[in-house]
Amino acid sequence: MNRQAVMAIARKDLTVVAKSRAVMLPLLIVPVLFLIGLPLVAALAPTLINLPGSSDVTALLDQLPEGVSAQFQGLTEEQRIIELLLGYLFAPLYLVVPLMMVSVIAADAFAGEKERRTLEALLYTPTSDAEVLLGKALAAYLPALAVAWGGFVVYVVVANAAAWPVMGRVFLPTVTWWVLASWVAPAVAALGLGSTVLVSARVNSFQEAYQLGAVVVVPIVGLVVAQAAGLVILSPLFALALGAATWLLAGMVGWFGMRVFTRDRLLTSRS
Amino acid sequence: MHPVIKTRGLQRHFATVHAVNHLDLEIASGEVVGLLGHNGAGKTTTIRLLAGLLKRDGGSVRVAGFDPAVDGVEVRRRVGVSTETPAFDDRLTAREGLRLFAAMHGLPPGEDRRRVDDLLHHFDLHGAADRRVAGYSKGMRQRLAIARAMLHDPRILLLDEPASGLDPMAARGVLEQLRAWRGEGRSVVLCTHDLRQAQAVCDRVLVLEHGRVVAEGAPHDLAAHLEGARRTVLQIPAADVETALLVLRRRTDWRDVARDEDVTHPAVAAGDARIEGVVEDSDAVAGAVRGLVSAGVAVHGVERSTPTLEDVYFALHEASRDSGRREQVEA
Repeated sequence: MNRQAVMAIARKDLTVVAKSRAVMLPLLIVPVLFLIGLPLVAALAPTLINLPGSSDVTALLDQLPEGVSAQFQGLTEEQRIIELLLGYLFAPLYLVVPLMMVSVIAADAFAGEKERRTLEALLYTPTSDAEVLLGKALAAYLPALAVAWGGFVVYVVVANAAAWPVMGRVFLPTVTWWVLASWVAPAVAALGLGSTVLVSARVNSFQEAYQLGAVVVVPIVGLVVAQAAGLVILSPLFALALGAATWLLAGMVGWFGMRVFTRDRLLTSRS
Repeated sequence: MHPVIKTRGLQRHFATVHAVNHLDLEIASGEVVGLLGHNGAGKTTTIRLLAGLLKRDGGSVRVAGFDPAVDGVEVRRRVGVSTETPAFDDRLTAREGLRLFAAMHGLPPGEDRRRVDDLLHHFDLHGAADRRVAGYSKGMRQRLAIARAMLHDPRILLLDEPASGLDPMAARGVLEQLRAWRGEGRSVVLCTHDLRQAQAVCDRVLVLEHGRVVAEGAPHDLAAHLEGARRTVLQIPAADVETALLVLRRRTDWRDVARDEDVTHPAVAAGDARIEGVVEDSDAVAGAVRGLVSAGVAVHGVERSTPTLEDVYFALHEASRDSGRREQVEA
């Protein structure tokens, strides 16, 4: 493995992304919105506006598994709302951040390069298909991971600080959040990367690749809805299982991605 | 001499189209070989096959002793390629782009900086080296593409239309560069539509049609094949045009006889007329002159054009089209 070439490819893709306002803007807005804006609003809302009656929250809490609902015993109404929102309901939204990050960068690095017609020059370098793929994958995956972990810290700090007047204690991260950040978020990013690589081999524009590759967001939205409806709850065990399933799927998608990522296929796919 | 590039029966098809069809090619060290052909003739596919970007469907290939399908990395270490439409990350400066590619070619830090500086100077881009490539002219982009192909100092260059769209001065610069590389013993495969350029710089050319070689040889030798069918112009008094046309059109060894309508020609301006036709050999010219003189037409001058590679190319293209039509009719 030519490590210097791999790192040069990753560096090139990151430099190009960093200089594109169209790509950088969503990369900055979404994390700020999800990891700072949402926890701030959720933590301050109970003290600022009239929230749903206690019967709505109680009904939702009644549907939670015993182990989870026990955590809400002895809390005031406002504390319950904050813990429910910031501890559980927003948790799947956190996963959107690494997914969006990896999808945008990978779409630019793979399909965007085809669209700009700069890919062929790269293919003429003395690198193997695997090295080109790895360089581009690292360019997308490492920043996604860094933002996921950095964002986790930011979210925890913002949520605890903003909710302090109501909670009066550090209530995050919960065990579920630790599992999400360390196990599920990297898996979701890997799945997003794999699906964008697969899609990019067949399409020729950044927009197409980004939109099709980000289809992975659908199950995450489903998880948000399912939690709000009380159908599932992100318990530590559930998060562990979710992460395992995502890693498995990411491995399969990645394997297919590696198979389609050949110079021949890249140059002969529809244009 | 041991060939640095050798293909035997090389084939590649896309669906039902034979992009490269049993191509035999040998290029020696220090040789500049032109691949000529219209769009879709198989030039770009050949370059991609030689560099190991595409897999062949048949035949064999050796580039610098390596099979590109198996040792593509080793081949690309030894080959520099400039693509037909050189594309760059427009958000980067020329220096940034070249340094990143230098790293991909494995140039150690420090040496990459020196090499990039040298190339920027050599290709007269140092003044714009820290400007984004987005603002570069077509000529600057072509020079930058060639500089990028030269980063690792390859002995073999595969250049796809390196002077396409350049102004005459810039195109001449590319030609001079090609000659310099030949002098340094580098081998160059030059894909081009520009037949004058090929004639000026190539030791040998291969004319491709539908992925097949329809002619091969030194430009001068190929032109010699057309020796028999050269355009010939006779200069006669303007008053005798009708008689001359009658005499020449009666001859079976002259065809396409017509008056040359170029009024700016000095002979026409001086009161003469010019009659042109395609003549098979010099005997036919002599016979025509004798015939004209016997008909009372004074012949003031005879011009026979020297066939160019362009004439050869169009003659071959015409022949190939005729043969295609015949095959269709027979089918």
